[in-house]
Amino acid sequence: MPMSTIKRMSNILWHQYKTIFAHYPLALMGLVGVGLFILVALLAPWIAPQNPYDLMTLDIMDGLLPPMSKLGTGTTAWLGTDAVGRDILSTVMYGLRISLFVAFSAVIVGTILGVLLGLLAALKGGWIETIIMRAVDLKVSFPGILLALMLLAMFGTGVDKVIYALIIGTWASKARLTRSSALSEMQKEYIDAARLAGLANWRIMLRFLLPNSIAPVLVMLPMSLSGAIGAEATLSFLGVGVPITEPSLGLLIANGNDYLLSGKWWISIVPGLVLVALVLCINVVADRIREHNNPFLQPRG
Amino acid sequence: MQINYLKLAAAVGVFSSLLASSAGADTLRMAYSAAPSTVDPFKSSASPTASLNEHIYEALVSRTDQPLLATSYEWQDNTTLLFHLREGVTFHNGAAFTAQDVVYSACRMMYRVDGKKNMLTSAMSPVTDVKVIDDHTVAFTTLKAYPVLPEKLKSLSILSASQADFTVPLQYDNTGDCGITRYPTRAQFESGEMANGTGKYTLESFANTGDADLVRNPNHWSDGGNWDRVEIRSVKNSGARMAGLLAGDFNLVENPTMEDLESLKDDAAYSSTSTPSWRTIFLILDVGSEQAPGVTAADGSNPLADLRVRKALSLAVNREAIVERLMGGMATVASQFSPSYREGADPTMPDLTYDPEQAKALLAEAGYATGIKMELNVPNDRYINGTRVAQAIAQYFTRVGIEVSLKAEPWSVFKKGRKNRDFGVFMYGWGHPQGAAQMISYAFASRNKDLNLGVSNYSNYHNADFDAAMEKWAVETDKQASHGYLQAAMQVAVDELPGIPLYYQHSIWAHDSNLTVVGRPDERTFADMVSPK
Amino acid sequence: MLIYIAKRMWQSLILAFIMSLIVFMGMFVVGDPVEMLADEDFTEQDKIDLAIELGLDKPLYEQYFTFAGNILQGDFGVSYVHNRPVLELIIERLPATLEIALLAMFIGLSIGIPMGIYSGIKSSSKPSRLISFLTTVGYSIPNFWQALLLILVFAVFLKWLPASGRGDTNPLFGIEWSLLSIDGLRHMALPAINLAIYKICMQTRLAKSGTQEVLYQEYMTFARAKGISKQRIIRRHLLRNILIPIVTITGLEVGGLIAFSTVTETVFAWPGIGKLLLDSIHMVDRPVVVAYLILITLMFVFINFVVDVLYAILDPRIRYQK
Repeated sequence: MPMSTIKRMSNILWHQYKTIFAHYPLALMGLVGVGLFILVALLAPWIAPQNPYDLMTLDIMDGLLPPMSKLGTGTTAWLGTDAVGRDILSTVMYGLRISLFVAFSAVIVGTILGVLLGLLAALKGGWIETIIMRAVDLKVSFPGILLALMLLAMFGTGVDKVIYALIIGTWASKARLTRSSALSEMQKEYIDAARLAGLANWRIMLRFLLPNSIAPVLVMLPMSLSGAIGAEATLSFLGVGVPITEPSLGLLIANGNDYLLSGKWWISIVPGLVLVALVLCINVVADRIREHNNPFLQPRG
Repeated sequence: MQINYLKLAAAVGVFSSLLASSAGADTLRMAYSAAPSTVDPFKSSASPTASLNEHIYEALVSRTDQPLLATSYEWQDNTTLLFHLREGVTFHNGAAFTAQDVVYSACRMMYRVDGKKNMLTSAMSPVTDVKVIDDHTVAFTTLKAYPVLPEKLKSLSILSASQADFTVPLQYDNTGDCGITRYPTRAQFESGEMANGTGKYTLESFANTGDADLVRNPNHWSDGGNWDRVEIRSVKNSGARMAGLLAGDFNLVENPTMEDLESLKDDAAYSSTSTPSWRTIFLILDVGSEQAPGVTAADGSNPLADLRVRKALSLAVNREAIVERLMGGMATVASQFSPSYREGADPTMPDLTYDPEQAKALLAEAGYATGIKMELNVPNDRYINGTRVAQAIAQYFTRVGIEVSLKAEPWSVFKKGRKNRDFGVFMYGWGHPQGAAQMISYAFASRNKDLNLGVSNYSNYHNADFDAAMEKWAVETDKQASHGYLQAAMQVAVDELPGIPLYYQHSIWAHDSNLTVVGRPDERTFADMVSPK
Repeated sequence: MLIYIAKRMWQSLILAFIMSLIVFMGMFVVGDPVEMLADEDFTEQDKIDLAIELGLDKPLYEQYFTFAGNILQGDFGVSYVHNRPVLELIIERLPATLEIALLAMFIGLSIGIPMGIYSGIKSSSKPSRLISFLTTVGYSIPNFWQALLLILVFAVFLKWLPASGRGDTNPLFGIEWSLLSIDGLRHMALPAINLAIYKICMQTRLAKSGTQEVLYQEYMTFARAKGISKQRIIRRHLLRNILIPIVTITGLEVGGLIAFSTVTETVFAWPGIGKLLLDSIHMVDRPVVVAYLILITLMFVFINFVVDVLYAILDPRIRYQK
């Protein structure tokens, strides 16, 4: 890619960024927050005081220590430890990593899948559309817990299985959304023109329909992301989520719940607050993006 | 006739509930951790259901060997068990309790309601006859020596023969026909209409959500129940259950988490009672297979087949730390596979020790200093703090050089995996309601259909000495002698370690501090364990 | 239109059939009912007998045909765990779920719509910004954690409200309702609030964006120019126009509340159908789970159908068939 293109692209992005976030301090804070969380998640193995996956370094004798305690290995647990001796700070960093990884993978794959199927439904119509849209209906009435439990029973526990479950949970709403916006788009004359010009269906789909009907889905993306983080947390709470030795934020909260009444607040509250903060930051950004993309929602006054 | 009884029972119920509402303080509200599913006493032996039913019905002998409807029992010979029944006992409907009711109850147990077996039918299969000797003596005859029969019969709740139509005298047979022309229907049982026992409480209402209201039976043969009224609810989530206690919804909740108990320490209004239970938590190791599923060694062998490895695994685990740190002290370090305080066990066996250095040495000696990889399977919603204990064990095994991956799954998935023998190493618990030999006779004996040994031998363990001792135990009606065989077998199991005993779980109840609770070891929650201070 | 309806009905039956097939096989994968029901001291023979009793000894496809045949005769089967007809179980638990779902929705609508309209009209005011931030916070707390925090605060620390169960009920039309007793209402409060918080946030947003959209329409400017009072504008024009999307979404949301309040019902031990579903999944009580999900599928198909019709009325460009 030539230098000029990159420059132009980054100019556009910068401009976009400015129109969306400048003069919106809350949204900007949200964006910075999201950035920080992602950074912490990426750097967790280097900045976390302890590797909570390394069973060699964990010791139940270090369990349930309050914040600022010293561990047997000499490290300080700034935010205390959980029952099996994991440093909460480190575990939350790693948990953030798992939560974000799971949510990002699921939303990206689920969205691509959903958009493609939605476009296909809109373009082809007929029985293809029927099958896809009824599959959407089917998914809506299928409980996530049963789906996750089925995957777990068939393929065993694992972070990847949770991602599959969430992908299946994500694609349907995207397909529905894409289809309806693509249907409106197809009423427009240029599609007819393209058809008359003899363009193949898949070309019409990728060249015209995709870019013109993807906007509502893109606008919803951050929302889907925070939704997926919450869904993963719920699955973990119900015992069909990520493995206990690789806890996500949700699993950490669920684990710590047992201690909420006992005054050992740090085990559940810390990951809980981090999760809420993360989701909140994403949602604040999401709100702003949605607002920006909806001409009716510009605040006046 | 029967209808009159029912009316009478209803009248008694109404009367005593009136009484209860006037003396509202004498109501006990308990929260179970799982919902009772029925008030048919023979349908399910699951703990919550059995707990509820114990309020309404009584057996001949209690689970802790206290005389209930039988004042005593003895083996007349190897195949005849005599029960001497209590006199002057009446059912809730007013009918007098006689030997005929015992025969009827045995018939009802064997009878397939809607074609479905009841829980004791296989346990009773060696029983050839149940005979009325006189009004207050009844004899069980078996085909062959069957020493566990008294233990099994602790689940035979006694129902009143007045609820059925039949021609006198009842003739026992193992299809449950017994000359009975009409049994109450399943629906009549499940609705509580036929919930007519001799127990300390009568059933006022039962909902299929498991909620049950009971009132004191004023005509009980003892001085009767401690409470005018008992309300049983079930709350599965432990936090919510505890919150219910703290919010004043309940007077007593079962199975609080260790963690929640700490919150009670500072509050004078609440306290807790912990009682060592008959449940042992242990690991099962596949020692007999060529390849143990999920367990590998560098040289391709099954490392669990090597006794030194098994000893090392046992030595690697710091049971005391688990008990202290994870169980809040509310568990007992194991010395064997049944609780050492369970009847028949040898209480003098030494606790299993912790010595990681020796464990490493043993592994090295066996040629497995490194290279063992192990999947540790554990249910994630079954045992108190189960997944945390499993994580601790994973830590300990890792420290002696074993690469552990922990697989925690919901109970349903776990049980299917176990049935399919997908597990080389798994964590499990056994409640021992029928004595100290129960678990080892099922889990470590070679399969013997005649003697009902080795039904769940997931260890694939076979040892001639062990089998010989168990085979003698299985036919010995003399208690002393049978305990001797059991202890010999247990010694072999502890020396050979086809599994790793971990600890004995305690049952815990959290309750208002103005209550005295005398806990039971069989994990059941009964209103009369509880009395006002 | 009639053809369209007939076609959708036909499709929904196929959908229910596919659902039953997936769930049937799914439950087979998830666990073995015999293992779940068997006592520890069951022998192989006992387990075989139990399997025969439950009809689980036959090959899976045969079990399915038996099951499907029974369903066509209106027989949804008998629960393995409760030993009672599945339909009876579900119907018995339904009122508890219905009342909590409707109460939550009612709270959501009655707080959310006024808040939304207010912040739509005065979108730059301080209270409006606060509302918008609070709704975002409300969106961001995982439901199960929120439930536990509610219990911690209102049941444990403040001791205002009971933490679990349904409390006293009173009959109406032969059905027991918690709504009709003080004790019942107290028990309903926490689970209903837990469900309602999300709904409040959602309805606020819907109403807000609807309001802003409507305020931009020309007829509003026109109405204002005509000097019609603000009160009247809001009542006559605004409400009517923003209600359409709200009604649409609310339909689906009520469906969701009825079908999948599993987490809330479980945490608060609320004996509704959501808890029944979760317990049945864990106990591998296949007849309950399959029947439940068939019914839920049909319910959603119906709701979706209504929604689609509403969409079509709103946006004539969307066609029914090609």
